[in-house]
Amino acid sequence: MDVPQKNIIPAVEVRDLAIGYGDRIVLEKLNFTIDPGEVVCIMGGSGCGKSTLLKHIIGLYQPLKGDIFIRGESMVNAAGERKKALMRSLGVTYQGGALFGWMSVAENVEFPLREYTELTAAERRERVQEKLALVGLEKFGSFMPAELSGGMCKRAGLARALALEPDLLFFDEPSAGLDPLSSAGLDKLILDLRERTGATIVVVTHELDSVFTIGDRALMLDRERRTLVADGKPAELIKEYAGSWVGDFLSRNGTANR
Amino acid sequence: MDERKNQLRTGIFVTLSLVLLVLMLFYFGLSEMFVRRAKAVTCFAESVQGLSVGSEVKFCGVRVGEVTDISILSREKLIKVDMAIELKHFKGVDESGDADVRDMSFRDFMEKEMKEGLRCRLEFQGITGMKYVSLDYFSKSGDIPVAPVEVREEGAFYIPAVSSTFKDILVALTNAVDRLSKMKFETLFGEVESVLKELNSRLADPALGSSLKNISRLTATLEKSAGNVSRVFSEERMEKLVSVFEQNLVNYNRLAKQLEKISQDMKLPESASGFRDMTAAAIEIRQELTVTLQKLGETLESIRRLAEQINRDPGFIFGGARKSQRTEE
Amino acid sequence: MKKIFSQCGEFMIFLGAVAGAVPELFRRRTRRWREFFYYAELCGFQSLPIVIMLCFLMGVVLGIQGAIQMRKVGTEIFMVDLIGFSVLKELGPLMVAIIATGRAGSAFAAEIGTMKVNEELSALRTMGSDPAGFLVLPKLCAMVISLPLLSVCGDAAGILGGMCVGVSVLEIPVAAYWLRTVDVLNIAALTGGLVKSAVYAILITLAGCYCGFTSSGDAQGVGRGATRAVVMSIFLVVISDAVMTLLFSFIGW
Repeated sequence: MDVPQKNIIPAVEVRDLAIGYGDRIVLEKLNFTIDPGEVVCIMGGSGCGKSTLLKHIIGLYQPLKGDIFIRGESMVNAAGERKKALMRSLGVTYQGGALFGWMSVAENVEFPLREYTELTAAERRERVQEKLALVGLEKFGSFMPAELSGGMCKRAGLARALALEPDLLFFDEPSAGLDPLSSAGLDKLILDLRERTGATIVVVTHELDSVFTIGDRALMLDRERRTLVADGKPAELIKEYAGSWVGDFLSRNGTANR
Repeated sequence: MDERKNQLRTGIFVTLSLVLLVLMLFYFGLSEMFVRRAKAVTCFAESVQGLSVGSEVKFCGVRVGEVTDISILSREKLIKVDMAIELKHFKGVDESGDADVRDMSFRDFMEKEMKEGLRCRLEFQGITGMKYVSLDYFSKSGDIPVAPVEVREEGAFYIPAVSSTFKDILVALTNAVDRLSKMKFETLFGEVESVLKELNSRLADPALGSSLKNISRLTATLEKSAGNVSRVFSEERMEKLVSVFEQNLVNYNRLAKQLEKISQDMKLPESASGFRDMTAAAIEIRQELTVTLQKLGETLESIRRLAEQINRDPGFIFGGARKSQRTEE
Repeated sequence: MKKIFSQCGEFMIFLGAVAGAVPELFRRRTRRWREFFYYAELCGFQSLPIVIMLCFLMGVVLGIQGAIQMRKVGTEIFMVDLIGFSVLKELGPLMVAIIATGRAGSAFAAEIGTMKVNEELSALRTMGSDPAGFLVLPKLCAMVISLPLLSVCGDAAGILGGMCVGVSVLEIPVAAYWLRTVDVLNIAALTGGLVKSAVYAILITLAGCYCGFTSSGDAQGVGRGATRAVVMSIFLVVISDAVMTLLFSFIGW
């Protein structure tokens, strides 16, 4: 477990962020940093804006206020090719995998390589095979996304996110819509990845099992107060916020699931 | 694989369409590029309404080309019509060889024909009002009219034009209407009017009324006098006169016969007494004749007097008639 | 009113994004032959039978209607002009455009809408690709190439249909019909129709993709987007037809 150090540049830094759609503010006054190598879980009830926050961090949406720094570089103020490059340096896995339907799994994984690297066809094939092996889909390279199960799609999506070997990985609801076994398998995969690559990993989830299994840190978002309400190690948070809403959320659901 | 099938189908589709496209381009226009043409120019002094770029050019009814441009020669006030004539329709003309040779061959042919009266003329094409340029022997053979200056400057091959039948009719009509319009209808009408006025005023004159009355009275009088005259020359008197005259003539005849007989039987010594008798008879006849003539003269005199009387006063006939009627009563 | 303005604004933004992506066409790496062939097959080859059939019938219908009127004044041969010019200038491109709207325009909207639902668009963007360029340009190229080609086939079918009527109903000899066709039709009419067809292709593609991009991110939204794409495409096609016909008439096409 890495101990955060003050002198290194945080992988993600959020400053006084306010996000929302049009006039409606979903979340505001957000301030937190994520250090390199950490596995951070962003949690909260349904509709509190977890996924929206994630999409702001990875640069899909422009925030209403505040700034987001990826490795010290502003995502909000970046533009054009610079922003594209910045976004490309992040690996993002979506809820449903977001594989391109008209390409086979292998081609999906190959896509970023073909677009943004100077690798030869053979090198690309090797890299694709390596990434597919990493997520346990080495035999499914020639399958079309429609022929895969939900969990396989997510893993294939992960393989694609890993293709460019990013040091910052985002997962949007990795366990949503999966049976507990597949979900646990995915959690194991995430831990495995951290071991292997030492990448910083941000997971948006409401699955408490996952939080306690993989999370170094948990960030709790509250829909009512529209801001960040708790920040710390999951196990410690239960104690710290015992009796309050956060403690309830973590312990009750957590124990129920256990 | 799927991708190869896509490409194959797309390939088939594109090939088919392109072949079609090329065919259509060729038939709808590009084939025109390979047709050998000669340029010709004609000028019309009339309106070319109904003629447009692309209108047909026909040589004695055979379509040989089309109109390529229509412009106005501002100096001569003529409509210049450029034509492209396809040489393939002229079998005798040298179609091979380069453009100059072909042109010259065509020009030679056309110049010969133009001397024989070949001219351009606008003709109606059907009922639509569209026109075409007709090349035909509209003119008598002879000299070719000279091209307008602007055409000559351009160096284009000029085929002179004659005005269309329609134009001729139009000109004749226009002239007639022109002449009609030139007649001074106002003065003409003025004269007629003044004559009528005069007539009117004469008719209104009161003297005319009285003279008319006089005339009618005169006429009546004349009728009556005619009646009197006929009574004077009554049938009986005339018959009597004529019978007297006849009698005289018969006597004269008899005398003549006696005279002849006497002269035939005459013996000079004894004939002197016969001659004397005869002479006495002749004298007698002559006296009778004189009386008859005197009577005739009297009759004529009385007629003359009557006419004189009528002349002096026609009323006398009425008066005389009434008097005589009264005396008869 | 405000909605219309904001929609126009959105469309302009979309247009700008597509236009900005055009230079990608000239970079070897971002040429997407695969997608191009996929869409070329979808809106080209697969539409060919229906286009040929519809245009043929259009020629037949036009021929019969024309024949009824022309016969009254004894100008049957002008039916050739009527069919030739209306098919070449209007009906061919228009029929193809309508079929393409139904086949391709709605398909584009549904496809992009579905990608939006599946977050594939987001994925594309986080991979640093421009969705407008990536998704629209291959479709645009495929359409711009295949629609005029389809129009050529449609034109031929339409003229053939008219010829069938002319020969059978009006008893115009085949040779006379053909000579008249070749005589009156010109390249300007053909190319005018093809230019129109290419413009329709652009409009249909843009309308379809735009409706896909702006559809709300759920299954219903995808359906609505597809419907909207069809309505918008046909609207744009007819408007542009009117404008182009007017413009072409100025230059004498």
